[in-house]
Amino acid sequence: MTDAVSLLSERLRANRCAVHGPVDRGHLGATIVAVLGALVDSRPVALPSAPDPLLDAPGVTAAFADWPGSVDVIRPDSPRWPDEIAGCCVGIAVATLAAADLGIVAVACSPGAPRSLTLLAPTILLVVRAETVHHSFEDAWGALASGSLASGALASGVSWISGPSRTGDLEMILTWGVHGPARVEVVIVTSDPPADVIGAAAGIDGAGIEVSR
Amino acid sequence: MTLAARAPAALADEHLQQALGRITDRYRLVRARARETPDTDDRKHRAGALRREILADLDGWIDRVTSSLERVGAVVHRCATAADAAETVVAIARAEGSRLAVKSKSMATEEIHLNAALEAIGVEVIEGDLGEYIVQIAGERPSHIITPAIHKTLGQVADLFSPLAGHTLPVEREALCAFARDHLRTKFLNADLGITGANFVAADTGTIVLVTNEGNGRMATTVPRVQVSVVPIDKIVPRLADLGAILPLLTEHATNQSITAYLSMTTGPRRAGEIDGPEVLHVVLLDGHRRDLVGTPYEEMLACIRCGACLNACPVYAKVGGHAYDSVYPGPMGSVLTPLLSGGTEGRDLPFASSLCGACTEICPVGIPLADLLVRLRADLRTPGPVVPARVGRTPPGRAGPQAGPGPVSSPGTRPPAAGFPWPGADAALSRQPWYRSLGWSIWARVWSRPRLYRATLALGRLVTRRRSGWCRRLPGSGGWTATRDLPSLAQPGFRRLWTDREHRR
Ligand code: SF4
Repeated sequence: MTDAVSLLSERLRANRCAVHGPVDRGHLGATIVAVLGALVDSRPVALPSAPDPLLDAPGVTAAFADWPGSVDVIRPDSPRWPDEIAGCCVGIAVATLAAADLGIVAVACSPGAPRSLTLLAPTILLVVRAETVHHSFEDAWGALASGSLASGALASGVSWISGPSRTGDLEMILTWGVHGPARVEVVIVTSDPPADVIGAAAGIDGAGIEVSR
Repeated sequence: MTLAARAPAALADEHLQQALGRITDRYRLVRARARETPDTDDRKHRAGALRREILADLDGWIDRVTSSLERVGAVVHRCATAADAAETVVAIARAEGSRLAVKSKSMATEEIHLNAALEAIGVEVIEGDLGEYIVQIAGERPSHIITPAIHKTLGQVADLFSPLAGHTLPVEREALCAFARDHLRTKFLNADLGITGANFVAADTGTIVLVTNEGNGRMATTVPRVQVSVVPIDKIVPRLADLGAILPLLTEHATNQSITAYLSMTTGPRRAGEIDGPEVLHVVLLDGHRRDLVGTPYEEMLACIRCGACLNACPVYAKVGGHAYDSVYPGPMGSVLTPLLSGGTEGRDLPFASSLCGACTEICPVGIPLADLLVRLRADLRTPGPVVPARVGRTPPGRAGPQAGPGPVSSPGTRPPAAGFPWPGADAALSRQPWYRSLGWSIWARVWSRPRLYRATLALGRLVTRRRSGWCRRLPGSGGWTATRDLPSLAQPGFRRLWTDREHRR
């Protein structure tokens, strides 16, 4: 684990996120299923439109297909979206980048990953690719601001998320879960899977998963 | 009515006094954090220099931000006055046929009294920030720029929310928060107009940045079809990248957090293929007497990042709370801004309601010399009408031209301190006092500007007060200074004596 990634995990936890990983790509699907298992109910889970390069990799779709008790997935390109997004139990998105020192993750919106994907559900799960983790907030902010990312121009909406929604407005004591999600799960994924893992990933029950709060 | 006249009621309000104790606690934490972080001063200087960069060419930066905003598809409205800005938003709401507006927390919209203007044309306006919502239902105004409902107890919030819920809500934070979430969620999801302020707007990318903990800023920029952002021109930063240095300082000083839950960037309306975010984005650039400040000592206030730390630090605010100021912006920054932004029509007494202890200046993350500005205002406000300060030659802390990289690191507030006594206008100030007091001050000024006489009077004072503090319970003619306290004895031995002894010991 690189320094930046372990610092990110530590700081995100201090900010009240649950952090999992780093796992390799081959284990991503199983990790997501393990993390969300208890949190998913009969309400839909919101995912970015297919094909998302990470979330629609074969290993992940297979893990979703095998979800214990089955899962109802909705996506932005489905006609159900506008009416049902507000009623989802979990929203899953892939982060654009992260800053380790402050423990914060940036999610840029796009046609396939709208703003509401990470806003309306009571729980969100953010997948952070280890190679997008910057050590300092200033560097991460600067990278996004100056458009030096591979993705090019600045998105019309970017949400930086450091943890659950909160308020200090009731007698200045923190109360959790106001307008945004009350629960934030972060899965950190490393770039390249060992070749043999990709095919075998589907049935793995949470190998390499580190769960803590 | 003045702050002094409103103070007794505030002092007698037990709830308020309890709440203000929490403000003081936050101040202590913020100050301790600043002192324990080794590079605080460097970061403050850097952020201060970045914030002052626009002052050398404010009109140019307004042009640059306008063209960037237009390039990314926003509709820009430049408004000279608060009234213009409110009318502009009203016209937009009319043209768009808006019925339900949700807001994210914004002091700029308080400044232009937007809610009343929209309600007058039948638009329902809902504050999305929990504190602002509490204040809205109570029919009050925010008493703090960061925690607007600091003066409300949990019990009072339950009393305000219960009629909306239709049953009695428990006096319990989670329950009240849950009620507000559900109630406001329905409003957010049905709103057709989203109204925001801006913590900052970047001139290079045309990006509006909102800093929130609850997510009200994200809601107001995600769901409604039309978004209006009211952006005072002092919110401009030259480059979006500059905020990497400024945002953490803001959140540390505002809420003692290393960063808030959310930072939202909005760069233009939604783009092709996107299914949420505003279809139409209007940006109202508000002057409201800010351009008048450029080139005067008061231009320092345009560096303010509205963190509220000076409110928390202020011993006057900590005793009377925000409502006693009867202004949109309370506390030290409000005492400076209110007379300036109102063109001298409001808050003329506020700069006088300060002990000039300097705690505000010390805590300010961008180095605004608040105490100096308060002293200057006392002089400038002696002449009726708008504040017309002398224009000063500008010394350049970090005033690089528009093409330069991040400004040189230099100390903000390095311009010469405001002139001491007699300050410009002091004669006029004195002539408004009763004759005996102005005579007293004149004699005092003459005596104490001579070092020998100064030392002699202090020696005499030490001699007279040496036995015990408080033997003098009333000092006639001192204008109330001994009304609630006794005259303390002078320090024994005095500072000069301590100093010479120390030098001898070396
Ligand atoms: S004057 Fe300084 S301390 Fe006060 S709100 Fe502005 S930036 Fe914060």
